Amino acid sequence: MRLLTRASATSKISAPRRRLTVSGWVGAGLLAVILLVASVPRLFTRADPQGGDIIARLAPPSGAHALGTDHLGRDLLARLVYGARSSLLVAVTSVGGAVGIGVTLGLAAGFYGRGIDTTIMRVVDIFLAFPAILLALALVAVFGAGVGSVIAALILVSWTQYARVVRAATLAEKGRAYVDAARTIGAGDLHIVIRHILPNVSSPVVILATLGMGSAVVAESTLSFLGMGVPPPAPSWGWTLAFGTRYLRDAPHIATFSGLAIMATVLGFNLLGDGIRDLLDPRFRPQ
Amino acid sequence: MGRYLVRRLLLLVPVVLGAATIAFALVLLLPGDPAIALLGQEVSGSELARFRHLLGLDRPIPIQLGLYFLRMARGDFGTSVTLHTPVLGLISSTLPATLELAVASLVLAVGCGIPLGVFAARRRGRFPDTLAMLVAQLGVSVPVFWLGILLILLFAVKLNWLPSFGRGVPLIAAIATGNLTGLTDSFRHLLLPAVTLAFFNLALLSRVTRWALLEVLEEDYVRTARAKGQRERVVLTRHALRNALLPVVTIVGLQFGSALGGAVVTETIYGWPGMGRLVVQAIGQRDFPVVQGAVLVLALLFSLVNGVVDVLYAFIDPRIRYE
Repeated sequence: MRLLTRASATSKISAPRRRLTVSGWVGAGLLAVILLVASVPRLFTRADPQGGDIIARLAPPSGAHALGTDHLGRDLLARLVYGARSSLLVAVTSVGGAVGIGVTLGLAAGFYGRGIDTTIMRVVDIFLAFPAILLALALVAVFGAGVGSVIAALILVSWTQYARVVRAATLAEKGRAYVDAARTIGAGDLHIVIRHILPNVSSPVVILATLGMGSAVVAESTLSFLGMGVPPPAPSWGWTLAFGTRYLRDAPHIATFSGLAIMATVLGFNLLGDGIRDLLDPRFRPQ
Repeated sequence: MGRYLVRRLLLLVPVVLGAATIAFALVLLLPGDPAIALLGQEVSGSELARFRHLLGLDRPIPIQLGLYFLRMARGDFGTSVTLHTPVLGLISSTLPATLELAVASLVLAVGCGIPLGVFAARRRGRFPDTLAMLVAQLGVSVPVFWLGILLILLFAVKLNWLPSFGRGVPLIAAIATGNLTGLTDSFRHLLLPAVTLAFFNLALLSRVTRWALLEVLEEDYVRTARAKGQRERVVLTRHALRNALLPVVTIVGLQFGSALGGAVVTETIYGWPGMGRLVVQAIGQRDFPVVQGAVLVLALLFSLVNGVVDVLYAFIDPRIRYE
């Protein structure tokens, strides 16, 4: 037994290295392309996303317009390429805001417990009582349509999931020996929470945030579809798709390509999110 | 169980009050005069003043909130600015259509999602599993409204098999009267919106079922059942699936709530005369009494369904009750 223990202790065979799954890499690749499109749009199109040629309106894909034109004769490829920036901006900012609020309140609820926990969790329950898209729609209606309103509404409807997850993880972590050790050497609450607990509860947040970006892209396009998203004439995938649905018979390419752009982005975030989850949580790792 | 039930019901009280507060705050947050938002622009100054006094809008906010709670408790949701009819009447006339659509979509999601998850789990790592999960991954990535539009394009515009707009005969009425023509009409209208609304939930449910079943299949009691020589079908249905379905029940409950929210989009695409379309139209026309009332009623329904699921969950799994 001792020999075995010694052998395993000195063994040079290391645990299998954690790797991102193939689907995770596919997701990362998709997102890398979309990020490149959003960062350097001139690399993909020379056309002006705002400039229309009314004679060429609703034109199908051709040599002049690779993906065709929209109802105002604007180049669809340029609209989608420049729209990537707006969709990613909304996704990253809204998820960033939701993570900021959710993680802060989740840490406070989990670490301090009692009244603070009860109050924060009841507020979470109240926000969760509303179907997210309905509340977002009502909030944008109140704030007025615009990028800022869409971002604010998406933050307000999505911070709760981060708060719940972080609170649960904090409750588990605060009883661990390393927290007691930090307290013994005189560390304050803020120091313990930020330097010790936060890094240990960040895995589920990273997974949720990655998946949340995909949801934010869909939510933004859904709000645009319902007339409450990023207002035109700014290029937005949701608006392009919403207008495309009005010309389904004459120009199905508008709804098809804008829908594909949204789906590819969401798929990228979902695959990457699942891949990160597989990587960080052994229970999900493929056998 | 009785104590748990009471505790769970009591937890609903602050949630309901909080949801009502948010619905109340929606009008307060509006730029400008809430009285104009609630009555519309075409009202005279004296009428506005009378309305402000009637609703207590000229009093401190906490008192306004108290009066709002009292009005809600009496079922007084105000009057629509554009339709000039009581909001409660509008809600009660559109709610059955939304419930019909939500229930139909849930039946589809459960009826297809769980078998798909079981199918994939039993063939873990093989081609059918990969294919099923790829379809599920696409299902959770497709924007609902885009899917709805594609379905309309294919089944209503190109093939002309199904109607793309409206509700037809209410399903319950068709069943109650035994009207076969009405029933067919009802199903033809219901199919596309229900599939659209179900698709995301179906995909999610199949993923959760697969994951839960795979986890349970690793348990010792499953190994014991196999070691005893039980047939794989028995091991799967009697031992594994019954335990794997516990998290699935929670998801199904939450999905009913999400179907109520998702109805906002689906009803708009298909012109389904439910509460979702009512809210979208009200928002477009800035009819805030309707927005306020409908948002509150949907939130109450959502909370109630979640509460019922929690109780059901505790009923199925005794460990929850004793925590």
